[in-house]
Amino acid sequence: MSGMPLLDAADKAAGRAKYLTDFHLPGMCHGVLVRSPHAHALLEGLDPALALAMPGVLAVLGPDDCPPHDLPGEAFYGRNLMTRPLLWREPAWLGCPVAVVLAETADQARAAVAKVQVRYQVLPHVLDLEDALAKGAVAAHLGRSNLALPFGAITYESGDLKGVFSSAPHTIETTYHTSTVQAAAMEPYACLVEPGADGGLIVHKGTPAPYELRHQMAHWLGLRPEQVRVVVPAQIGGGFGSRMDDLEYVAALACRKLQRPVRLELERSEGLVAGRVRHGARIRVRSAMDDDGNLLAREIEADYNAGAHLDLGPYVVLRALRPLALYRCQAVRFSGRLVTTNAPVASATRGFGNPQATFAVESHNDELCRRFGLDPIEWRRRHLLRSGDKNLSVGVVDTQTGQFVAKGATISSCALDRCLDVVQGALSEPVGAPLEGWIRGKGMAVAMHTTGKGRNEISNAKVVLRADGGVEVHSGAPDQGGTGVATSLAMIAGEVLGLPPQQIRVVLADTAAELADSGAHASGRTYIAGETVRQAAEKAKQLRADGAPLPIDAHVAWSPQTNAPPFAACAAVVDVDPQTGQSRVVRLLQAIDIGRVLNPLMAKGQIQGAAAQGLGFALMERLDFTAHGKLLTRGLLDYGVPRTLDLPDLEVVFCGEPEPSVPLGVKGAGEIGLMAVAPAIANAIADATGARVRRLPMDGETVWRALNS
Amino acid sequence: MRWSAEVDGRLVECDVPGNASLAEALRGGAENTAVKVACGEGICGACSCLVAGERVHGCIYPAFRAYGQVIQTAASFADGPVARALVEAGGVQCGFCTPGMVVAVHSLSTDVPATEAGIRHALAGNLCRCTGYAGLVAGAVAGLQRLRAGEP
Ligand code: FES
Ligand code: FES
Repeated sequence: MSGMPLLDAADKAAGRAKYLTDFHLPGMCHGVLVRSPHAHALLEGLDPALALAMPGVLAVLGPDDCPPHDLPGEAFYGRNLMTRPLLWREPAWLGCPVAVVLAETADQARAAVAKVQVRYQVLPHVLDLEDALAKGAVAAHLGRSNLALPFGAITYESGDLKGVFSSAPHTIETTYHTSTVQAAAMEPYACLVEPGADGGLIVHKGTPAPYELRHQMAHWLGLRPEQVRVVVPAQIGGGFGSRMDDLEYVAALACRKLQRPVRLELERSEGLVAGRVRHGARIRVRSAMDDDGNLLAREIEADYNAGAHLDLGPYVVLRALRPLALYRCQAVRFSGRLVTTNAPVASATRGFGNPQATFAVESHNDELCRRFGLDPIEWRRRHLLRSGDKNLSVGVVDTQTGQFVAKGATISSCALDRCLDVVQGALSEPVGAPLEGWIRGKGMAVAMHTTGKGRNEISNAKVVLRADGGVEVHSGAPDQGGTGVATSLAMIAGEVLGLPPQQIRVVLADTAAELADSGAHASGRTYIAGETVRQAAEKAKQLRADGAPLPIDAHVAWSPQTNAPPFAACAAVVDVDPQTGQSRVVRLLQAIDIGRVLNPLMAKGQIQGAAAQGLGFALMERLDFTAHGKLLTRGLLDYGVPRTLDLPDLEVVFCGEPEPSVPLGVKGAGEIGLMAVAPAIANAIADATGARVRRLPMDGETVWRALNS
Repeated sequence: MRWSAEVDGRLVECDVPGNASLAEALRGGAENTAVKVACGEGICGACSCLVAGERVHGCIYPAFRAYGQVIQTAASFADGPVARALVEAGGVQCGFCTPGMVVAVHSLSTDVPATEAGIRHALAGNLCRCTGYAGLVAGAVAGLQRLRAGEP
């Protein structure tokens, strides 16, 4: 295995690296949010007097002080679905912020939170997706339908679906459920906002999208974009998409009021409900088959639990299209709905809507192969997309009708055939014997993801050759906590300039540099920011070769033309204890196509880390509530983040060829390793026990019930 | 209260609240960034440090109990064989768990075998959300071997 560790790895291991939660600024004060103890309520009164009398308390801000977040964004049906309160008058989930207490120290603020007198009128609530869809369901928001998209569903149809289904000799329909899970990044969710020059602000925040945040924050505060400077810390203790949590808006408000630096830092129990979560989902898959088990047509109906507001939900549910797009057949139909509930707010979380749907479709494929007595690998070979095929999952939603319009994107590289060879080889190896009384099974699954959002992507980079011989790379892209953006960019520039990456200084994601970047979403930064840096380095090299004097400052802006999907095939060997329903994964191998592997050591780490999150999603993780809407999962003690003993050694085999759409040859590595893990494990459990578990997590009780039903 | 201890070889004196945890005293008072707090309830190991050679969870260990003691955080083992091995094996991504891992490996007694199984058991109390533990476990095995071989 070649490749290099992250450039900052030694500093992190030594404890020298500074994270946002290590920052102290002179005059800094602290904010702690007052959170609703009810899943749904109305504020009847908020009296801060007792809190204000507490030592060190500077101010208490409530809904009246805080305009809603009305970001300039896409309007669906004339309404911006992402508009939301920041301090809520009608708190709509347990832990929903209603006020913020500001004090000299965090301890003082926390002590005063208990003294803020809030009177609530408790309202009926609904947590479960299916309850929220039932006739006469409780409204998660007063006076609003729980079906949150104004047009009902995002839909897509191609081919004669009705015709194929009515004439097909076989149809099979199954429904799957996934639970609400938390990214649970290790560094607490936090932000720090300080007064800036010119009446503006400096926002320190581990956001994946600093330029977008600047734009939205400035709009919200009525400032010019230049007055808001967003700086993403070079080190972030894990992101996984979940750090877009609105904390910085509350901190900004407080900072403007007090004219002092304000830090908000959540405790873990707050972070579990206040950070964004992965949508729980119900997904129905229906397939039409001929007598040989060939797939003729397929339909997916996906209902995603949005929680208390939609956030990025409309884009997330759309990504349930990916596993539908992965198989060739004559006709497809998709329908994706978002259901508002009084659960924590769901939004972007590593995998962005794809893990839920891939679990459903890949479990369903295994079920139909079993029914027809087909080999699941050979069946997939028949139907999987190949290079040159159309990728229907790339497109846009018509925001008036909800109809999805595919752009006609083409798959430019796909090594799934080779991935399947590797998985087939692994699964044909002898598996050994399980513990006494346990039974062993094998399963597999495949997945497709994306490299970048597929639209509205941009990156800007500058490569500077200094007069003193130093080399700098400046990019608008942020790192998202060890994903290795800085290291990758140094490697890419170094490759062009013939320099070791360690000799290149990389500066990322400070909007003061005016290097706009669409953000670290959708596994896209090595491809998008990386290709931009490659071009800037080439430009600098050319200028130098042409005799330009130092310093040379080569600036490039670049937008990708396609989304170059990465692919995965996963093999799992799983032991099940039929007495308790407990399962253990004894082998997990992933064959991965991410194009050219720029840094094998860290790319492998991305796949392995994603696989561990996939295993947690499959077997352990769930936010649990009582019927009264109280959270049972109060901290990392109750919330099942996998530990060393829950995982086997995670095997990764890279199978891709350089991706032709960019000279760099890479595709996204950050998320693809998560997708196929849960269905591969479910399929192995079915192989071992004969029982099909269609609900995540497949913890002991769930599997035991499936075995004994 | 006035608090003092020998932290990473230096005498530290600072004021901390009477109910402060050791992690608060080290992070707040002593501005030590090698102690991370991820869960604050003693179950993730990010705040691991050694008090008189014994591993404790700084987030739930009262500062007053560590008063006057010799305390070692990951900074004591900076760039040592364990830290280097974790880095080389690709065991460091976001790095928030890493200082705690370094301390945990340094705290292992000689009866913990420097093998994959030995390390998986020994580090079961240290959470990592990024790596899937593969690089971490491989690095910890190599690091423990180097440490025991007396590598500086
Ligand atoms: S922060 Fe101390 S054990 Fe988690
Ligand atoms: S490297 Fe991020 S938690 Fe371990």
